Amino acid sequence: MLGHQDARPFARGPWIDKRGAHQRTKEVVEAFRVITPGVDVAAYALSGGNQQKLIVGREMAAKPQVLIAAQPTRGVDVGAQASVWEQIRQARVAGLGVLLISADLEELIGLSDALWVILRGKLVARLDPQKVTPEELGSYMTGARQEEIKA
Amino acid sequence: MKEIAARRLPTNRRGRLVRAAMLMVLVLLALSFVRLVTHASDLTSSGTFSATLRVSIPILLAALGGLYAERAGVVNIGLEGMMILGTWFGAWAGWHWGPWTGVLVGVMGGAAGGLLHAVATVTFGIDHIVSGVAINILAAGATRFLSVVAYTNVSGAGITQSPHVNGTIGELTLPVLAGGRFFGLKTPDFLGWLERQHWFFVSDLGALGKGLTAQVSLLTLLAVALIPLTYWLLWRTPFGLRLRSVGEHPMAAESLGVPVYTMKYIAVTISGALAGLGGVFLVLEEAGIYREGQVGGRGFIGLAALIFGNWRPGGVVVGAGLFGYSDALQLRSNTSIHGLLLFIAIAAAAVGLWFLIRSRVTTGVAAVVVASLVFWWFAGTKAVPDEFISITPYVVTLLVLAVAAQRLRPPAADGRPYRKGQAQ
Amino acid sequence: MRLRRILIGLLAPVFAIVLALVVSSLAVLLIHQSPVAAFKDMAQFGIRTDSLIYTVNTAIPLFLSGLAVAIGFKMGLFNIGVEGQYTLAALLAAYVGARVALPAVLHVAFILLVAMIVGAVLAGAAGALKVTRGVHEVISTIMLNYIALGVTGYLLRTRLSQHNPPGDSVTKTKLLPASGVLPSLTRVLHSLGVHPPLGSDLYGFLPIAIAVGVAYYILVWRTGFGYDLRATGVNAAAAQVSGVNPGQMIMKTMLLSGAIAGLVGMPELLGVFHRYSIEFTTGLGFTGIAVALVGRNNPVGIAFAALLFGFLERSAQILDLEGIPKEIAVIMQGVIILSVVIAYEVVRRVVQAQEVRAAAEKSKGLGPTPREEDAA
Repeated sequence: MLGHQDARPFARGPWIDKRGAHQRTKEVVEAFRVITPGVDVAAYALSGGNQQKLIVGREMAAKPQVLIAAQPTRGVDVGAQASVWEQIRQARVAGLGVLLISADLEELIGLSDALWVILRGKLVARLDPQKVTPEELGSYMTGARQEEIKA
Repeated sequence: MKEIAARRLPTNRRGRLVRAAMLMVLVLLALSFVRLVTHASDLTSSGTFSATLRVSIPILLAALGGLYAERAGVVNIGLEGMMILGTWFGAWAGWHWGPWTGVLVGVMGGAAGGLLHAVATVTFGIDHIVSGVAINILAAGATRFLSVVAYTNVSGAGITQSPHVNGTIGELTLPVLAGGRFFGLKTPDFLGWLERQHWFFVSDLGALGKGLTAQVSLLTLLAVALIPLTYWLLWRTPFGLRLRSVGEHPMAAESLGVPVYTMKYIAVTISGALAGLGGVFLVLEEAGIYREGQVGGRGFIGLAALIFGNWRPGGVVVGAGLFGYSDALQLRSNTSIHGLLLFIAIAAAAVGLWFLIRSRVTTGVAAVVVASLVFWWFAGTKAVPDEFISITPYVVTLLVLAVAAQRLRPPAADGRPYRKGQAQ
Repeated sequence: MRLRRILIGLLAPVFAIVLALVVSSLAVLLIHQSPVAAFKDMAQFGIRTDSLIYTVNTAIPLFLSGLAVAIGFKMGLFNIGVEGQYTLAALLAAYVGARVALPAVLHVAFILLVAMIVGAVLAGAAGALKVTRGVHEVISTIMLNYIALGVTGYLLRTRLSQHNPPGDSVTKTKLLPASGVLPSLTRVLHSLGVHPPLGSDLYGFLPIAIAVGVAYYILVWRTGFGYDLRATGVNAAAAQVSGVNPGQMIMKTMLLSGAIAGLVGMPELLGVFHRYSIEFTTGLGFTGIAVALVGRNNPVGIAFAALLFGFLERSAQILDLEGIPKEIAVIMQGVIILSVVIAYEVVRRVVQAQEVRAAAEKSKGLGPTPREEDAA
């Protein structure tokens, strides 16, 4: 519940609502298909991929208006990666604004509506994910190719 | 992530040394001035400086011990306990077999404590501070018990103190300058003569010289020699480089083949040994006996000196000297502490001015307020109560840390338990 | 599953006690005495009624001291200054308490309040130094310890003590009026059918101490603030990202810790001496650290640890008669502390490894699970 510990369903006023937390966790585990022996297991015991699914689920279940996802599937196994991507797509369909920050070319091209490349603190390219190839994207990211940007 | 060290001030060695020297001259000037104004001659007497040397050595040794451990990434709060072990074992062995054996056994006792700390923190990954605190408690209890076992029915001793050590460590006095014997001949005592003139600043300088060179115990010389030795060992040898790398970035060190665990073990054991030496020094130089509660927080003051000294041997010396001075002063006379108040007021005002010039208004104003309060205390009283005198070193420690703590840079991986195979 | 957890949780302290018994047996053998006889004596002496009462009485301030330290530990802070905090608090509370007149319950509450404020201020000073100047609280609390003790000595000697009748050389503050006295629980015990020998009075502070323990539990485990506190202790960076203000958290925790620390001297003040003097028990602050470590920072564990230490101290008193130094209790304490800490770490790793294995088992057959580190 980290990050949301002062609001429903995790808290009621100054008190922690254990049952609420339990309930919400169960919902997240089911909805995001987190594989765990039980809801009472500590998070460190889960595999990296399942931890990430849990965290994504936690953030999405809080019904945000904007979601910032930084490297959401780095180091995550293929199955969990696909699951996270699906969740991000569904959230986008439901109207959630998603700022995706990543270095994974497949992820960027596959998920984005618009693609901006930042190199050394400067905006260096604005690309269309439907048209750009991974090689092009990569070369902008490394600075091998440059383009004029009108802000 | 890393704290930024001195920003606009010189960071090269020469610049630092020059600045340090200038600062010390200023301090001596201020002390000299205060001495003349308050007639508290003990502020800068050779007796005081001599006592300062004697009293700072245990703090210095504890701080050096802390240096080795923390440079290898292990926080050693247990220095106090290791010093206690050093005092007990040093006194016991000294009583049986003479002072130098006492030194040896005391060092081993401290090293044993260090080894225990190493086992707990390195092999078992226990939080460093928890282990240190536990060792302090354990050391206090163990020495109590050992005292009961060893000293009941021994005359002149008991649970809380040991019998007198058999013999003393020899001492040296510098000839010509400080009146030491030269091949058996008495020589003039130039510095002592200079001191007795009571001239502004020059006499104080003379007193400083005499204090540092008259009746200096061999053990003190040994301890002082450890300072350049430590610098050389840690900054000029491959071993030292490996050790420091373990404290900065153990993962990188391990990936390059440095035996991280072994290095930490060695460092922490050396740490305990040095603390033990400090403890033995306490015994031999103060009363020749072990007394319960003798260490009195010096292990922690040593740690403070380490922090104040920015984890470098040179800085540690300054820190230990500073705390030693305040400790020595409170032992010697009440009027001096009263005079010290004036000095603190002047110093606080100077610090406040310094901060104000650099536009750090809140800290500057705070320092000036402190200066005025202290001055008001000085002007309004004739003497400082006894209880306050005995807490002078602790107050000084706190003040110094409060002023200096932020611009310091501990080793990057200090205090973090390390598990092999974390390299990514 | 939960039963298993509890059993594993008990494994560490049991291991620690066994190790302590072994080491102290060695120590006893060292002086040519029989460990078995020694332990038998200790056990027999220890379970006498007046011994049990003594044990509980000793445990009460230790319990409070442990709680004070533990709340800091839970957040990753080390309040080593409990010793100085409770000493100064007891002195000032005794002095102020003797100068006012209030109805009984209010009077006691007032005294407690004064003690808590003094303790909080001292600890808060260390907290402020940490937040504003980055001074590590271990050193600042230790220095403040010595300073507080010095100030206490000074105040007691000069300003706050009463004029003693001739022949009375013990410096002390004025006696608390009757409304400031906490009666002992002897009558309660009588009504339960227990009749302790004369002179053996169970501290009336016991229910207050229990209440503090309960409050501690509720605060740390059932409130949002407690969650923030625990989160900061586990991973300060993550907690900060989740919205916890680190400076505020440090200050609040130190203030709380100091407030509880201030209460440590209260059982003695209100139940036995009714004034402050140098006859007060010392060392409770440092033993409290040990109690918190052994009790693993949770109130039930701390209660057991406090009782254990009290029991050790009491039962060891009989050893003097056998020629065995009673300091063996101190050694046992020390060994227990170190071995508990080590044992807890070992057990924790074993349990952790097991949980990871169980989770991995669960996901077998559901796709590849390569070994991963930091996935976030």
